[in-house]
Amino acid sequence: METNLKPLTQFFMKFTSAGLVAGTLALGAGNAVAQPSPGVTDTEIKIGAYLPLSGPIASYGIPLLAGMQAAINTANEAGGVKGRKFTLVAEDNKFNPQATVAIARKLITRDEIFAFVAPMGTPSTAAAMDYILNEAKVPIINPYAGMAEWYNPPRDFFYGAQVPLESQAKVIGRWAAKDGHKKLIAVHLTLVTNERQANEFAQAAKRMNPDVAVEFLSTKLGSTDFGPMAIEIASKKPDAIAMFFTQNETVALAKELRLQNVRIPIYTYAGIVINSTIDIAGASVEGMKAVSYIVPPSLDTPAVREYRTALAKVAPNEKPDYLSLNSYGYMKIFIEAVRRINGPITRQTLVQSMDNMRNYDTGILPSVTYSPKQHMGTTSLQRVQITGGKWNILGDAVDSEKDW
Amino acid sequence: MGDFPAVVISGIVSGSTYALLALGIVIIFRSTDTVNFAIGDTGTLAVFVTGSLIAAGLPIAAGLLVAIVLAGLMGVATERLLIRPLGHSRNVLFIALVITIGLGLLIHAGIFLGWGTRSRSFPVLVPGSANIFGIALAWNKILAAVIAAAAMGAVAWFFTKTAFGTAMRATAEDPGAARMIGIDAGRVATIAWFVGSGMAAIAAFFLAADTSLNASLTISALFRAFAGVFLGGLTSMAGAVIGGFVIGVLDNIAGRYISANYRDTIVFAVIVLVLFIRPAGVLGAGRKERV
Amino acid sequence: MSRAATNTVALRWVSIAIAGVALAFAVGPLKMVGDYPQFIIASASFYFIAVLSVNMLAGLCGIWSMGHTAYIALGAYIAANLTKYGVPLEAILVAAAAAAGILGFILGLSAGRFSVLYFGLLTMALALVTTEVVSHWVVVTGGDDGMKVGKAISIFLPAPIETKNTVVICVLLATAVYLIGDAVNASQFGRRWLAVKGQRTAAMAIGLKPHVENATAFGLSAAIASSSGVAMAFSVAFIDPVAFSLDASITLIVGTVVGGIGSSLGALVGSGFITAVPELARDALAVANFVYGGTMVVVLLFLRQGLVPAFRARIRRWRGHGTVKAGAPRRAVDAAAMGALVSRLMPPARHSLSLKNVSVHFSGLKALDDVSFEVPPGTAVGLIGPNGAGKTSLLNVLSGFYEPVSATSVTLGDVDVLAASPSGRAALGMGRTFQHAELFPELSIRDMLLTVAGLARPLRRANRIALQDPVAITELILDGLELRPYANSLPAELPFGIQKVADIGRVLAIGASVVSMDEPFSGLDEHERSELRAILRGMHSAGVSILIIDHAVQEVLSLADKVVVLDFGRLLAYGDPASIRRDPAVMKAYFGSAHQVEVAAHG
Repeated sequence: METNLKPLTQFFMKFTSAGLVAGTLALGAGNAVAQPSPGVTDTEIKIGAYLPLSGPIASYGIPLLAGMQAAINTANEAGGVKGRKFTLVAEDNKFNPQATVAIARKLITRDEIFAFVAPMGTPSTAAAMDYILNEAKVPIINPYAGMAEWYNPPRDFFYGAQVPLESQAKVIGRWAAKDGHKKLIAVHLTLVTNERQANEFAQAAKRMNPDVAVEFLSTKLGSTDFGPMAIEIASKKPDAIAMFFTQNETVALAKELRLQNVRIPIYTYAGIVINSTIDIAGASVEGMKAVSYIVPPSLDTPAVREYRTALAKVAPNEKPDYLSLNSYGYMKIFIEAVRRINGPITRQTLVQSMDNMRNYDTGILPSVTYSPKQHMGTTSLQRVQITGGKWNILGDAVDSEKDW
Repeated sequence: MGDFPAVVISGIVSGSTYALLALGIVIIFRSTDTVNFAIGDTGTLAVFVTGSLIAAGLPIAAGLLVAIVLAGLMGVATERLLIRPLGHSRNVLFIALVITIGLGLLIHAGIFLGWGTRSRSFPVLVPGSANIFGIALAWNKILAAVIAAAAMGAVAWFFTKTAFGTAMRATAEDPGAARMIGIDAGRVATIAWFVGSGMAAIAAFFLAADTSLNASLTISALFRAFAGVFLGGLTSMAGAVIGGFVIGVLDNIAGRYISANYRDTIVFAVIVLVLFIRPAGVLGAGRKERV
Repeated sequence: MSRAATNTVALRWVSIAIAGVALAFAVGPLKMVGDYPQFIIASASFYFIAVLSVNMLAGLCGIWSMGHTAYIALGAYIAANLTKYGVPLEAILVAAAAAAGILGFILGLSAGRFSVLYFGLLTMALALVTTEVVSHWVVVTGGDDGMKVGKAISIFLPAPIETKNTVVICVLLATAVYLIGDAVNASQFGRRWLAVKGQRTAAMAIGLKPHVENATAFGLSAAIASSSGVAMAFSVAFIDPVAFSLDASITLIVGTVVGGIGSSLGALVGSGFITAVPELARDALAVANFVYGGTMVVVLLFLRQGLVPAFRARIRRWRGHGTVKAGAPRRAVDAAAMGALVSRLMPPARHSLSLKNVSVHFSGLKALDDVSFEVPPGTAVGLIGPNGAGKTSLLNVLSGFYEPVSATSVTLGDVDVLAASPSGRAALGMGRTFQHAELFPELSIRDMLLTVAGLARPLRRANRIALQDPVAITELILDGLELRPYANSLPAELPFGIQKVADIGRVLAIGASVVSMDEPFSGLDEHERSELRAILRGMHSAGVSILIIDHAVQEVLSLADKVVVLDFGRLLAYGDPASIRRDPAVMKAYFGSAHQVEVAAHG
């Protein structure tokens, strides 16, 4: 093409590449040296989290972030822990697994966080776990996520307080069978986690009552139009339906079912136990049964009052709700673990402190116990039901690992 | 038979939204040769503003009119500031498309800045539902279909029975000749973009009540509208409308009888097939030249 | 290209290669940067490869693919799957390039059927379908949950490559792709594609098959895109469909538009932009969207071609490459030299060009109605008639741009001309000049002649022309037609007369022996006219068959052995110039009465 610009372009190229090399050297010079305890200084402990802060699942991420921040502020206002205040670096993963891996790398290499606390997303965590735990050896404490295989066997640097999704599904399946339903439909997202939930639900129901028959329907994450599915469900005339969706799809399908006058009991899991579910879906979810990780956010106890005060200060537009209370509790556990460290604060001592935590009661979650062989803090769930437009406790707590 | 009639009716009702958007797309394309990718986002932004006004006390029905006017004005501004300066060079059709993609990004940024990233609920104009052919349809959705039909009828009347509407069709056929007989291309463009964007606002208004109000409100519907547009031919208004309804029904049938998972797949596959086999559309003129 | 220019190019490429390898080592084994900059550089690298693939296709072919993410996805998932079986990186790159290249080639074959707009939409729809397929084909892709990618194995290294060190692969690949982009731009391929992009019909007239050229370009572009996917897969070590979604396609378009098409540098700037923005915005969605959208809108409104081309155009103007005035002093026309030039390059025609009963209709209008005549070898036949008589239509039939609705035959000797595609006519030795020159807008005069001369090698060999080297032929034509001052100029920078002369140079470069000329005299000044006369006489004495349309009737009548007169598509008269001059029917058709022709011919 043009042959006369060569000298100029050549210069530009050399200049650019030299500049590139120089620039990256300058960028990287400081970071090339690894610190013994990244994220911890004399005055600060820096923790990180990936959450969906945009997109459809932002309805989870934004309240979760608010709860975490509230817990951190409470601790900081009381003087911090061991003379250090907590800083939270949160980034938006849009609930996308690949983005989560990239964010994890950035938080670890660019921001040098001490640990991940209460990040969100089961597929997201599954994608990034290998890198975070095995390659970078950074702890993940109490994610808002959970799969059974993460705890069997326990993984180094990984601790959770959330009953895995499959275990919840087992409880729900047993419950549906106990309630006498025989013809069941389980609807689920096509993601692996939700598919497993549906399977566990079916197996647990059949274990309880071999006469139970379960049919499966699935749809993509992000579906909004449930008209055809509702029509299909109506034509099959089940006794009850179990939903393994996120809140968005649950609400949409519930409304559509009500529209089509399909009045059957709905069972779902803890991820839907949020007050906003009732705000959005109204009468469509009246009678819905589920299991909850935590106490109601309206409870009048010192711990929950403390939460409500802290939340109002950090995020006045957030109404007290299960999600922010959840992450508040998860963060409290982490803060307590740091407090119980004897000696220097390192990732190793953090992990040791977690391993030694017995029966710590946040007043929010069931009391948690960790040990070297048990990285799952609790297996207890509370059955709940929406009655009179509110989530109400139903019966005693159940142990998800036992046949209750 | 079973619930087939129900599925079809439901599809026609959903399809009215796609038909509206499709009509908006074609009106704008025929008058200014621009495929406006931001048409859905224009409607969405208008509905966001309307939503805030409604929360502040504006009656919902008035909100619909406000949304139409807001979107229309945004469309006019888009045409004047972004499209008209591009001129008439060789690749301007594609460049115009790309610039509307850029506009879409800007609108998203505006929505995030103004209203954050969370979805919000949007009120229905008419609560309750009716029972048709054995399925229940929300009155709001039925109203949406009726208003959509009325809007499309009004547009059809405008384009065929009024002098200016005919002038606009002439401009679409042959801009040079139209200019020579005194038709003001600028006015034609302005009206076309107002009307087209207004259609999108109506679609977004009812979609928001149906699902929830967020920045990605119209994306799914827009794809289906485009499928309808290609099915009917990018230059045929009637074709776009019919195409939109056909896609609505196809979508619902796929959702009911194949799998809810495959609805998007089928819609995109339809677009690809139509573009490959008969790019001028089933109802468009069988043109010899490259479309 | 001159020796000096070749050396400069080689020097530039070597310095880019060295810079790239140096960077790769600096960020990799030498560990001169921390983990985070490593990650950024890796991202920038595979973004660069992706943007370059889109950029190259748009710049060289005018094809804007809004769905190249499909090929990136192909590369990524091939990498993720093959690496499970221990297939080395190098083999994965080849496999991905082959798969993507074939698919791209097939898609590119149909690009000619569509306008830029429609094809862009089609590619977008294909990308959406691809995302859906990825989403559903869970066994191979892990579906919406995504899949992990194992460590890359290289045949050159003993151990698998750590994820952190994959940045070396990314940088090396990016450097290689940069050089490939530059090389293609400067090569015969790049020139051919620009010719098809700029002037499809003229490209066919010089023997290019547009759909094959598009397909090849698309295949190459897709292959490059797939290597971006491979690099990304190993770099992030995890892939899922969202990385290849519509948003990702749009981001690539933003990078291409902002950086500007037509050069590797533009791709570098564009990819740097799309890497930097999210990092600087710390993923704040509103900011990233705003910067992307705003920059794209501003660039499209004010710097239409993008940052790098706009910069380059400014430099070009500053260096004085603006519109060239034909004020250069010109030497007297040397008829003998012209004749020598022509006979060196154009072989004598050996066969008769014969048209029998050719009819062309356009929706009821009879452009040509049952026209028959012959052009014996070595004769000059003038084709005259009033406007709309069908003269250009006839030439278009000969070039293959129009298909006759009926024809007994159109033959060159015993070769059925109509059986050859428009691209195949040049190989028969048929050349064509155009009324409006129809040069290739993005090729300089020298590059155009080089391209044509390169394409016509087989024809020259068949005709046993002594001079074979395209560079030598180009230089000869530039000198012989006094085009040297304009050799590096683009057609838009040249006066119309010079363009027409260059058009004739094109026919010389083909080495045609049967030449159709559409109004060659129009738009020429007196000097250029005498040049043209000398060339035509040169062609005639070299034995080239000429079929010439022109409204300069005197010129036609004085050159032609025979004259064909058309009116309303029908053959009105066919005979030698003298009898045509006196033919009353001709006079009536042209002038309305018999008297004026005599005056015009002799006045």
